[in-house]
Amino acid sequence: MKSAKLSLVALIAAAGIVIPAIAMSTDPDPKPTTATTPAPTQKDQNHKDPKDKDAKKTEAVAKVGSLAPPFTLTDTDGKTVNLSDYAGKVVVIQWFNPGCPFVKKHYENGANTFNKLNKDYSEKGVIFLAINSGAAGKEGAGKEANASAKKDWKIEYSILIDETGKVGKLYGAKHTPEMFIVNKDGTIAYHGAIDDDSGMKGPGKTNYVAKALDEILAGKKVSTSETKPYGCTVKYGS
Amino acid sequence: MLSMMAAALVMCFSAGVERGVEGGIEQPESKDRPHVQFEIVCEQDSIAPGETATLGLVFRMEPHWHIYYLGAPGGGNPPSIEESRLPKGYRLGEIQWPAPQRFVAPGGIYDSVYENEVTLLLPVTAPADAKAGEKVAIGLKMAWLECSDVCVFGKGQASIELAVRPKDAKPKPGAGAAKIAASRARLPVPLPTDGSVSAELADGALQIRAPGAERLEFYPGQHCSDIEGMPEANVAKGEGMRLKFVNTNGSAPVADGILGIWFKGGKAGWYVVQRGVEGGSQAPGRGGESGK
Repeated sequence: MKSAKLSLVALIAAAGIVIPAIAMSTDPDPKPTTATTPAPTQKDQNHKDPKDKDAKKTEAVAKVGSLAPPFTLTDTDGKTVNLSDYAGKVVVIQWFNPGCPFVKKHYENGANTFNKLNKDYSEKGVIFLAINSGAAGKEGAGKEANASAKKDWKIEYSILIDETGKVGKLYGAKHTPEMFIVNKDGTIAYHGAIDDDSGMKGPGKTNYVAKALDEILAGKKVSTSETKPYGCTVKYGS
Repeated sequence: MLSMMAAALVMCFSAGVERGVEGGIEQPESKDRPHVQFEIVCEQDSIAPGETATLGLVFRMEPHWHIYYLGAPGGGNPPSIEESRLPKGYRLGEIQWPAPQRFVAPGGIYDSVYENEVTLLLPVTAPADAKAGEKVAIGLKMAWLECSDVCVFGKGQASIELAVRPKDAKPKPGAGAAKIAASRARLPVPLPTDGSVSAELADGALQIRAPGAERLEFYPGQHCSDIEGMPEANVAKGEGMRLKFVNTNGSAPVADGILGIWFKGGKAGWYVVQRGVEGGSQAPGRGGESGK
């Protein structure tokens, strides 16, 4: 029953709601301007025209307070992992790319952010998952690169491979690292950055995920349920 | 006289670009060499006691590489001053940021970036007791995020030597005059108050009207609420644009960013748009590190 409910939510979420830009036509009265510059073209601006049928939308469909979209992915060992396997548990999902310097800064040069988080909270029943939504051939993508990172960085939790980017787009993940916490009832309790330092040197002082987990495990409402994620863009294929 | 003229010459030069440390995980070949060059230029050939001159921080990107605008919605780190070397009494102002460019990564991820080349503007003020005939060196160490289909922490340092001229002498254009002028023309300005361009926030949407425009682009700033329908929603052909904000869970949406307008006939302008911003946040066109 729960699975059917989750599927319905996912179907609605995947459909998305997109309100297009509205171009208007009003008074024809040119006014003073500050420079003479040709309008950017589609080619030099690397974007699709609004009417381009191939333009891809990344409306965030996994929102705080809503049910987490279900997914089934395979990890670096070839094991199939369903989100529903962890029904009734708190699940932390980390969007991951081992080639991204913002991910590296949490694993290298003495930093141990994610592994420590996993160690501290897995003892309390929290599940950790990493998902790499990079397309084949992109930076840090694929089973081999992620298996290597798992070994090199001594990561004890599963890294799931999402080369089609389907799950990443379903969650609206745009960055690595970008974090989601799924509460015991299946709703998203936190979405955002791992911490408060988006700089290029090292981890921040406040770990938002640890703070949210402490509150969840204490039966409290998450006080900071949304923050602005930082990092590299997820290396989607299209 | 000749020695005075020689002293008035400004030497602009760039230094090597340091690379971010990469290690542990296999890196694509393209990460192993610089993709962005940093140089300091100046608007005029000298500086007078008590005068403020404008330096240009020039970033040259390889094709397909970009760096980030201050407040880029994707969270990419714009150039920042990590360290500055200034003679006693000299002060740096705040970096001024010309309007960025749209960038849409695969997956429809929008960002505001600079491609090819950009010159950020940085005021420098000489002390009132600066001595004419002296030469002073200003050095900056900067850091930024540079990306193509991969991202790298970039670092660079550069210096410029300025001659101090007598207070009553006029400066000549410096080596960076043209670049700085071009960049200054792209600095966002306040919206006109005569109603020729309007941006009204109502019913959870920003309604922009720009009679005579043929194209509009809106570059969301640091405080801007999420816009529905990105990355297509913030660009429009015609004389108007409506940006509908994603439901902000009961709180009022904030419109914060830069509006780029291309008018019929080829002219363009860039305007600061801030509606619903509490406490009058920093104008998106200006910011960065100051006088370290």
